[in-house]
Amino acid sequence: MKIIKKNLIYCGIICVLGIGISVAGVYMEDDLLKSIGIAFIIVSLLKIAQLFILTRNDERRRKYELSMTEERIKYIASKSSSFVFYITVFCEVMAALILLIFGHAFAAGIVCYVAGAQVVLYLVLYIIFSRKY
Amino acid sequence: MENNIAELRKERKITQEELAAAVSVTRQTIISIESGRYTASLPLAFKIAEFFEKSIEDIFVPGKTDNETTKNREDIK
Repeated sequence: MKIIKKNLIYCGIICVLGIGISVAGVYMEDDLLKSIGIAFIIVSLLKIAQLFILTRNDERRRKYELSMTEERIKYIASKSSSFVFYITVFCEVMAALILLIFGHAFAAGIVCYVAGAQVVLYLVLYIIFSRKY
Repeated sequence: MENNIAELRKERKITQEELAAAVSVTRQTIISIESGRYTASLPLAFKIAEFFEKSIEDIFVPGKTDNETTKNREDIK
């Protein structure tokens, strides 16, 4: 139940954020902002509905909570995120090179700074975690 | 890491779903452990051993890959 409550809070925050973006879109007369806001609202409301349905069925709730906390799922999630990190950094470096080739040195520089910041952050976290564990 | 969970389960006529519920994991995790695609963590290994009333060594045995790894490590030394 704790996980479902936590997810409900997250979805509520996303819904409020969506409302905020939509309202900003209406005031600024920006269709893109409005669409993004509406998408946020729809997704969060659907998730909230799913979570409410789960609270009414004990077996489904148990399975859902298990799937959120189970060690294999965590392992897969951690492995996926580490792969995403490597792929992202690689793509950023490639994008920076392509931008440099086409003469967009400023944009290439920004992309390189982002990639560099990610690697530095990784190293800092690695040092912190290696001390902790 | 090899294991004989499937044999023990069949011996005691326990389904993957029942074992999964008993050790608080999903059935998919039991399938992955049994097939050797996923190695259970130490707490989970203890839970499984406790469920079958056996010691961890009776259920989990270092597989070929682990032996090869050990051999490689020794070669490096």
